[in-house]
Amino acid sequence: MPIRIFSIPAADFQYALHCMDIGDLIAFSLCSNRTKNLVKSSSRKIDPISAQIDENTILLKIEPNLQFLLREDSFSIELHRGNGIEIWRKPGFTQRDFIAHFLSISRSSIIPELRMIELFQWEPMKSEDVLKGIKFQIMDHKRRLTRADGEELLVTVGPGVVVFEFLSPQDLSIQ
Amino acid sequence: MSSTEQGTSSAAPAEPTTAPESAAAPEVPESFYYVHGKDKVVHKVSAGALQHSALIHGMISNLGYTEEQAKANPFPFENIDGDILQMVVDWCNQHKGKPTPPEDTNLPKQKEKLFDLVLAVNYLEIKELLTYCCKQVAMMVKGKSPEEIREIWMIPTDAEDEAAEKEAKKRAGKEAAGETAAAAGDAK
Repeated sequence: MPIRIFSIPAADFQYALHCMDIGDLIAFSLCSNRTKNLVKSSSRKIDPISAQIDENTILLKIEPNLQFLLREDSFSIELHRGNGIEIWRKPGFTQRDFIAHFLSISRSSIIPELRMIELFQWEPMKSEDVLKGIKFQIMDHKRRLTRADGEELLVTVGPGVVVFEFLSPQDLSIQ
Repeated sequence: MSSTEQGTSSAAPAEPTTAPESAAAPEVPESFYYVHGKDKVVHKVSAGALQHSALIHGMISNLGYTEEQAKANPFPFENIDGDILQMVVDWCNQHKGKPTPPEDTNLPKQKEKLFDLVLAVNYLEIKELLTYCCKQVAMMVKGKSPEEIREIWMIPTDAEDEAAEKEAKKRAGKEAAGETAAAAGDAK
């Protein structure tokens, strides 16, 4: 028999959230906007995500044993958490929405580490190559990117690593 | 109610059962209090066991009941189902004067019972039991997908939340209009 979780006292519910592991907490956050906000406002800290882009897929790493694979052609994510592969579906959610969601629940506007496989050539990048829908081009070969709309993104370049700082998670949401 | 040395149940305040005799019996006889739930079945519980409940402990301290008065006036918890109160009493008896273990495997596995237990334990302010219950609630969704969690915990969709919010606003608007009309009527 299903049970209404929101019928239990808020403090107890927050404690239950505190007892959940991060993978379960993320699953809960994907249930609805309300659950996302509950996770966001909870005392649980979700580590900043790192991302790895390989052609049309984005691999988000939360913890060594907790990775999400986003494909561009489906409203779902593949979850790898040590027990094989699970598929979570979220109708209407694109790669951008998932990234925005993860940034939001980790209360961060930054993807601290972004690795791009076979894209690490300093030449103009096409928007479809990197983070769908965020249009930018390289202005110089060092530290500055500008999006097509003129807004700048901060970028830090390290050996094999590029760090983008988005202005806010809303930058990644659907316009 | 499981048979324990501290308590018994009946439809009316029960006669105290004989406490077990042992060589290490305390010098001061233990006090007993009585509680009943929605089903009016009275449970006799020792003061030591009831110390787990901050609410009942506070009531006992404030009221200063004698054993006779306590017997004649069981604490009524009409908002708690009888079987749930039974579980709480059993737990308090089992953990009387003992350090609470990090895990408690005796909690109910049935979801509906667990949620009722959370509400009761929250009301009775039994901190340790509440901690166990909340952990158990979290365990319900371990390894589940968002769809499964939504089903297990009956989480409304965004559309349902929006509809409920609109309905609540509409109701609040009507109530406010009703109050205004009533105030205007009083003024006349």
